[in-house]
Amino acid sequence: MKKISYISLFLVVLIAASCRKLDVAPLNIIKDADIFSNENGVKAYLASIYGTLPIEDFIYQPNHGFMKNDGGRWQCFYHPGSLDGELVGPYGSTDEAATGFGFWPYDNIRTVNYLLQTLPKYASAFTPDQVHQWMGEAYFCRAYFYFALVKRYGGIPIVRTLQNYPQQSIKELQVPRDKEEDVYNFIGSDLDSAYMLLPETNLRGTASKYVAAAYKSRAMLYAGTIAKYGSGNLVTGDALTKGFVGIPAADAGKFFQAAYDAAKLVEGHYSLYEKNMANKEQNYADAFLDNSSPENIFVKDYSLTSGTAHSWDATLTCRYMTADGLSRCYPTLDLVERFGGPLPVVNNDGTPRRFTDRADLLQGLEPRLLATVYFPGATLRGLNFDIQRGIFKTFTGSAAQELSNNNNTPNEAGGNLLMADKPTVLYNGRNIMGFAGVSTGGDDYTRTGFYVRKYVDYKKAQSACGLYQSTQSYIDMRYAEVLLNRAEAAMELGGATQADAIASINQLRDRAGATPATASLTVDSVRNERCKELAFEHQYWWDLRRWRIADQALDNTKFYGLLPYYVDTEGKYIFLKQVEPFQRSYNFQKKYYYEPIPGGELGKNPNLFPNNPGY
Amino acid sequence: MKKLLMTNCYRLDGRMPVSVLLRRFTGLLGIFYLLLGGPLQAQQPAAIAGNPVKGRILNEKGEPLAGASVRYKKDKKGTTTDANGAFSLPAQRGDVLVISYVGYAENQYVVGENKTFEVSMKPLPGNGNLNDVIVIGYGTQKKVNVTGAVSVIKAEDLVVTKNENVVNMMTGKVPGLRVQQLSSEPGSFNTQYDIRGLGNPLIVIDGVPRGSGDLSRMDPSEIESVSVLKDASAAIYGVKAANGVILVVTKHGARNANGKFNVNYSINQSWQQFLNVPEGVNAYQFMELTNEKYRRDFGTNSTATSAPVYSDSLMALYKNGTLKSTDWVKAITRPSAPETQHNLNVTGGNDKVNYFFDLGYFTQGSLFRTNSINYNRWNFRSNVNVNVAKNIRAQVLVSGYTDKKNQPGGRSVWEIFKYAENLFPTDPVYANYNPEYLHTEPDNANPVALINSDLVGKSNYQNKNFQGQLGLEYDLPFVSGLTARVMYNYGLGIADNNTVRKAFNLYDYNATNDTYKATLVNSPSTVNRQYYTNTNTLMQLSLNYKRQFGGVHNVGALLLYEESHSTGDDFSSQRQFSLGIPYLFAGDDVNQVASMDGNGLYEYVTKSLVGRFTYDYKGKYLAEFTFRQDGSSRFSPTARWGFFPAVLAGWRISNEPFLQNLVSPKILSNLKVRASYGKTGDDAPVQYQWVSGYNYPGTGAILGGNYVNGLTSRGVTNDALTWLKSKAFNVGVDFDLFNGLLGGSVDYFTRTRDGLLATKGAQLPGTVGVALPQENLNGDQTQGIEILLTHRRTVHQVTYNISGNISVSRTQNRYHEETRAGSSYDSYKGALTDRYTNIWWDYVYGGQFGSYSQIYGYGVNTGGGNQSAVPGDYYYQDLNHDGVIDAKDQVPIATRDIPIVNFGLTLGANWQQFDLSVLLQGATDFHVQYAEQLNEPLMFGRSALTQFLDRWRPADPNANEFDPNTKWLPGNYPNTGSPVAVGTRAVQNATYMRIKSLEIGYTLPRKILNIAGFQNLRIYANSYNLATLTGLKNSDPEHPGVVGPNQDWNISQGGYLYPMNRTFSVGASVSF
Repeated sequence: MKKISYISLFLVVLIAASCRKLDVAPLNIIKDADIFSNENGVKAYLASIYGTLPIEDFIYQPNHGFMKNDGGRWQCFYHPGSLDGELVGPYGSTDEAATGFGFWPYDNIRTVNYLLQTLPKYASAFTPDQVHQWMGEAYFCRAYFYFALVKRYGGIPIVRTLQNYPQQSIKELQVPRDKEEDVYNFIGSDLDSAYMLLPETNLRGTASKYVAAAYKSRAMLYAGTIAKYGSGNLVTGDALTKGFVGIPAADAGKFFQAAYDAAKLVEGHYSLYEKNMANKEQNYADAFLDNSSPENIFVKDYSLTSGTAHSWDATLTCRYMTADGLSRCYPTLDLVERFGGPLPVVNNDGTPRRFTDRADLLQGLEPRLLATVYFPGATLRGLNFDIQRGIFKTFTGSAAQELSNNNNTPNEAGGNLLMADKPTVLYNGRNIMGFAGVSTGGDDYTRTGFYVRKYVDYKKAQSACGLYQSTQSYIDMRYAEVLLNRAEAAMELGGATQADAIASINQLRDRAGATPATASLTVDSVRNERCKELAFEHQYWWDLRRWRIADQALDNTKFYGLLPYYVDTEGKYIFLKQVEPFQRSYNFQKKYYYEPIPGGELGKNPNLFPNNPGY
Repeated sequence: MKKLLMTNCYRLDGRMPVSVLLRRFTGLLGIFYLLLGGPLQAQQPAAIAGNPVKGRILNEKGEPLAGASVRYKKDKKGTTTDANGAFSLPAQRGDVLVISYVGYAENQYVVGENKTFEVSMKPLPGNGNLNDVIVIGYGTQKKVNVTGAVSVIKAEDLVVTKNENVVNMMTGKVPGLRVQQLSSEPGSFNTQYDIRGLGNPLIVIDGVPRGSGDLSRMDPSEIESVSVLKDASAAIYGVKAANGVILVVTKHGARNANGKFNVNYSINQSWQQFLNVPEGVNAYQFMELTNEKYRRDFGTNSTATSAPVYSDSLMALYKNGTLKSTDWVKAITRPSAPETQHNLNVTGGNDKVNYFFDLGYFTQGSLFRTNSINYNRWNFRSNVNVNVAKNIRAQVLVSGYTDKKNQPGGRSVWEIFKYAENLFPTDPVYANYNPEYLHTEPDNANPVALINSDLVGKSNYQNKNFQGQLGLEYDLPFVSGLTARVMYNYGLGIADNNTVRKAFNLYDYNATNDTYKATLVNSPSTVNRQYYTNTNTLMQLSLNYKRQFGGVHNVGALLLYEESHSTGDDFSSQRQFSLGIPYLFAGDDVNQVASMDGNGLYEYVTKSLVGRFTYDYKGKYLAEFTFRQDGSSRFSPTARWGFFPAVLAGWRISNEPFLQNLVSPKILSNLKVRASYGKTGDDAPVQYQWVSGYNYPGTGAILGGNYVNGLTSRGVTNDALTWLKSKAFNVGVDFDLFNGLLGGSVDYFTRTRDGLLATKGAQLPGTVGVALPQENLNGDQTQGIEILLTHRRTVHQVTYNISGNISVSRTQNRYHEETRAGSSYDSYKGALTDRYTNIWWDYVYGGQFGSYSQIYGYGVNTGGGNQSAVPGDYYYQDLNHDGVIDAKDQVPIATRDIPIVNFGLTLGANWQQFDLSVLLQGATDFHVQYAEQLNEPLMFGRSALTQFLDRWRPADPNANEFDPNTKWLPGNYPNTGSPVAVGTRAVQNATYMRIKSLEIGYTLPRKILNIAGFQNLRIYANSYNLATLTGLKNSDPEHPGVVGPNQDWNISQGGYLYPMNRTFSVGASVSF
């Protein structure tokens, strides 16, 4: 019996020791006070805002958005340039992406507003400079969100302060749309606040005084052009008459002046990348890859360890030159010809010029063009862009007859033209198609004869060009754009500022290795300069919209490629200008000047009506 | 010493030599023998002399059978056994005694010299007997007294199905347990199952809540029985019981009649075949289909003017053999793969101690030629019961398993199948057909490379699990029938995953200069290690009371306090390695990552008070009341505790004299009606949602060159959020007629839940910028019927039993929080309240156009004004008669998810030394849809499966498809490039019935066994998934397409899943 007592005693102790309380706090949840009372807490808070900033970077897709962790984020070729004729690529039509993806980042705006409201309460824990800087960053970020909204939808509700539910009724929370002009003014004033509060210099990837000024030049230029060109070229509707879309033309000058002034503020704080002017082509290519470039104003960085790396290298050139992935979008001949007109591929008699080496074509072209686009015959990572559409056993006649690319000409008929879907297929021991394309089968080889070069990291080993292995920074704002904003605003303002525009443009042309501009400079030539300088930088789509010329530029439009062939009997190459093999027609409906307000939001808030014209 | 170490070690290549294996087994045996053999041999029963004849009647486990009838054969007079199974009858030498007991085969005994004897009765095969003791929540009950809907699978019924997953062995055997095996991938245990369609059930093994994976990984030989609690009988498990409970009890030793112990060894050797492995077209067929697709210019509805993708000259190269076609599926698969299971156990016991020791080993290979997916597992168990003192009993249960799944590194298994199905047959496996150089393929996914672990690296997933349990039971003095018990269980689980991804070369051949260009892909090589560990402790203190009053009032009571504590932790780290040593220590500093899965870090405490009161009057009127008070640290202090009561009642009408007068008990031996009602809960979806603040880390940004973690606001929280509440109701009837000739039960049940989580956020404008927290808003109800019929009989020398079951279950939303609909159609389609769940909305298939005249005459626009339609294209029914096929013509066409109606039919038979068991299993009201390669030829511009060759096409391949005079050859699919099937054409009825298992066994006659020194030796042949009857085309019905509740498209299930298998096994079990 004694033993039993011992056992019982032991059990009682065991039970007492193992008793636990039900109040077990979760291990990974932190509180307001932990964040706003210490510097690293505020920095983490700001990092989450910067991390969600709607930057249209390498992984942005116009129909799917900013792709944070989405499986589609490797597909860098879903590039907005494929909607507007800079590139042809994966989109079947403009309609696929022109109505957007239901962007509605008010949760992120709330995060900013919460900081603006909460940080002052904890101000005593920090120096005034720290508080000013963080508040300035918050204003900058809020402006960034609203600019991303206004360029898509026009006027949307401006939410300046924190809204609360259930303290506020749902009726109260059903806020109406603000006018497009008011939104631009709001963005302007937030950026002004940011300019006032922010320091002169910034940590890479964050805002400073001049970052705010640069973005103000962009936003105000948009507002100015919309005011000037916007009224006449829209589907009419309630939203237009009520000012939810469109800005009164009378206000154009005010906005252009604001854009010009803001651009001017940046002067002296940044400069064009000109480290290697002895080789302007190389210099221009490096401008996008050198992290120490004085031209970079606001960049987004990536790294392998944080899981943010992108796939630009793997998905913009052909698989033959990368370690994984595939390409799907290719520069058009139309874009290439913007730089200096038609390329010298046709003899005076109309016959195609014969080339011994494809690379001979590159002679004499603008260095900036060669640094923007990879031509047939160019090299990358020691490999040649051996682009070849096929083999003509013999070739007679003119280049013009092959323009339609319809397989009906005498040269193409009767087995005279050999084409293949893969480089493994041979004719007389020679590959029928190049390892870099053009294939009859897949679209993962060039369809235009060109590949994108801008941002492609040529220093990288081929084995390092896999998916999610690219870490070059995305330059969301660079000084070249500020110069272009300044020049465009100057030209629109007219008068004495034209000289200022010419000076800005010539800074760019000198760096590009192009011929300088003269007094004949027009608004159109400034716009064309913008297209060339900012090609593939996600600007042209928005530019076409704000200039209100998209419906003319993309009106049943087909784009061209320049396709190399080998002529077997002559042992020479020819280049034929032909409709790109997708033969896609691009159409821009006028209603696309604005995206529709997301349907789900209209359902939840009737005050968002009227929807944008045409929807 | 060194030599000794070497011989006892694994060989350096990592394989265990057979000799070592054998030594381990024999060594283990020796230890068992030394520990237990000696003392037990001394326990010989003493012979008792005297008159009259005395005997004991025992069941198959050596336990006494009370109430068995013992009669003289000559005049049918006799007696019945007492509580100890004993009887006494005056008898003379030569008298024949007939011993019978319901549910057992009749036995005869000829009185000889011995006046004292024991008779072991053999149970009739079948679904159990009324006096069986079955396991219920926190206790046991005689089957005859059970008032809940509880089904039991006994060990012998479980093991007639041979499978690697214990859950698959339960398929079809009890009504209401729905099991669907999705794939036979080794080590993935990819089976979904539930009870009555209710969701994930609670798994309890030897009284301890465990994970579903632990059940799947059990060694079938260690299982004594499986009880499925389907109704309010589960309510005693409170907040975790809403979906029912599966209770597994492991084997224990028993007092052995002569004190000896048994050693049982069994081996099962299987060969797997693979069902419905898809087949890809060859290069020529691929080119034909491709040209066919691109011949049609849909923009202009005419034959394309551009060149065919593949010219005749190119196609001729494949036809004449200059270029070779590649069969990617065949290149990586083999026709069969082995699977082996060993089990060794020792059982025995005497009056003081009994024990069960078990050691199991299992290994399974895969259909890959390289066998690079493979799995192996060790299970062990030691169950010991000791009578410490007169009133004290102790129980020590120790068990564990360790398993390992290997697969090629870096890619999911479904991807390998996807590429094997969609890669171009025009691509060679090797550049220039030279086997030194694997050819470059899209996504670097050359399947022949992907299955080669030596080349691409290798992943392995290891689990280790240990459970140790101590129970002490004390019959309290002073109060008769009162027992106190304390139990403590410690569980430890470890998941250890290691993935090595190696860089390797792929090659292109350049004919112009006869060189191979290597591309180093999959670079950099990385090694990734994930480590999860969790501990669970469970403590129970209980008082159990059981007593009979006045011979008619049977009273029982249980009061139990339970406390559990669970913790989890994990980490993951990754390094690149350049030296070729795939371990973290040898990794590079650059780009190294250390991280953690926040969900794997947790600590929970629960406390519960459990009670049960049972009362029956003469075994006729049965009543039971249970309750449970549950508290959990996961809920907010304001909504932390829940009370879950249940009432169960039964009436054994067959024991009523009025009925016995009406129908003889010999005809109707049992008729019982029963009903139950109880409250249960489900806390699985609720995790600390009431705590406000920030989740950390959240999305951050690289600022100043360094990544800064962000944080994510938890938004508005709901203090009142709690588990969802469920009410279970069941009414049923059990009956047995003609001593087993017909038996069965019928159950009707409902389960009503409210407080399902939903958000009202749908109504809050997005401009507020905050998501509302979840609230306990929605409700649903599941109801259904289960029918079980059994029949058993002995005809001449054949004893057989048949058992059939069918169950139907459906769930309906009772309340569903909804957004305002934009139109009356949207409101019709979108309103979910009062509608069945898992409804599939789509078009109703009309047919295939047979000719141009039919297309021209067709009044309904199927898209583009039918301009691009050609003969063979599908058309759909215009159900709203608006002349256009659009989303408004979608109607409910089918149900998704696990089949609604499930049935099983088991047959068992014995003839002399032979035994046979057959399990037919099937389901109906079951639909599947397949996507990607199984739905579309040339998906994503890649290859096609051979089924798509059976298509509509012009008789002359060069004819203009858009010319009305073109002659067409009909086929199952439309012309390549035409719209793919949707609606009821794509959603296939997957109703099936299959011979799930078939086993024929032979037990060696005793005479031969005695010579060989064995107690028992049985050999058998078995097949799993032997044959399937289904209308489904090109796939296995259990192998999923696009399935899952409210899940439109799950790529891992898009038909690329590892296929199902059919196995043929032979095996033997031997006892000595």
